Amino acid sequence: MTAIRRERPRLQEPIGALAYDQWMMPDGGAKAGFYRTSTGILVRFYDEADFEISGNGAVRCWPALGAEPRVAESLFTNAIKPMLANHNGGLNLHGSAVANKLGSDWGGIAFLGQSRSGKTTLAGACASAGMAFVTEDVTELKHDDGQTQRRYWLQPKTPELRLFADSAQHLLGGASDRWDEEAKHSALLAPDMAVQDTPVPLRAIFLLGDGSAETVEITSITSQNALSQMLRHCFILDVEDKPRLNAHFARLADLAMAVPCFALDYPREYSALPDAIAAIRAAALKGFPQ
Amino acid sequence: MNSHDTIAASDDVVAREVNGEAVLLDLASGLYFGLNAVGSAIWQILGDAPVTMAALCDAVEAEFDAPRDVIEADVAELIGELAEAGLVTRKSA
Repeated sequence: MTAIRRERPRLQEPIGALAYDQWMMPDGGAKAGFYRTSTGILVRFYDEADFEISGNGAVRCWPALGAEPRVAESLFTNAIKPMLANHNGGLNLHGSAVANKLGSDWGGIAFLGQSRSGKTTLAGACASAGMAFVTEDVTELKHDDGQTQRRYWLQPKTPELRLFADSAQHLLGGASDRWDEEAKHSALLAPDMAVQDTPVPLRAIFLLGDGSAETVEITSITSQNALSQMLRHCFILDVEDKPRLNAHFARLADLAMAVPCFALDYPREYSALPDAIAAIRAAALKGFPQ
Repeated sequence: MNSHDTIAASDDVVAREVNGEAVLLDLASGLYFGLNAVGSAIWQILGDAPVTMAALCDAVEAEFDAPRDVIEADVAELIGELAEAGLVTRKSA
């Protein structure tokens, strides 16, 4: 378990070093910068929080002056923890997940995509439509070596959705009336949404497109293509640590070979979600090839 | 390209074979590349140690059924593309 020491908010003073890596947003803006310090690594989420990660994995957090405290907590849970887990041999991907019931079996489905690509909204809509919610934003996988092939297990997380106001309005109704429209907020699932609270075997990975499709499109993709796309959705703490990067690359390759992967795109309109869910269900019914 | 030129894989590249084809990730640029079966065989050889163009062609010839001149042309073309992408370095004889 990753421990965090919470410090008082502070002004984000300029750092006297160049970032060795940056997290970029789809619009080209920088979300975070990664800097080396004398004791480890400083991850600065601009105007949000600083996280100092020492060599032994201890984390100190300084919320940025003026930022809401919940922002630092969310960044710790949804960015720092998965980065540290991957750094130490784990497999966490940027994505949401649900469980779909076929007969008496529950099978996990993960949705990987860029920030603001609709992963959480899709997972919430699936949960509204009878699937069970597993996780959003961070998809943690563990594996075992079954009798015939490696199996991956989706790990359930806190049953809450981090949504923008319009998505919350669509999925949860009036609870979001007073939300800031420019920020994501956490909300509990609606009472009619089922929750998967135990690990579930991962049956398929859907890599979300950019929303340019005019109708729902699902295409099976090769393991090689899936691997190259997964690389965009992993949490990496130190891109200059080649042995660790190599090991993580190998873990992703194993995942891409073991689990069927699909490209999924659909218009990012709430009215398109039922068709997207129906298409996902139809793909599941046809059976995800193993 | 001379047959005695030595080719070496870049230290910045990690590779993994996925269903018989190599996927390369260039850590320096963050770009990734896919290689077909022949390219994957060549990369596997390069991954062990630097090798001359002649030795590379010998290894491909031993594994794939094709005329030597075709192999030399194909290997030279692939190495040129890999070098342009920064995935290998060439040292002239």
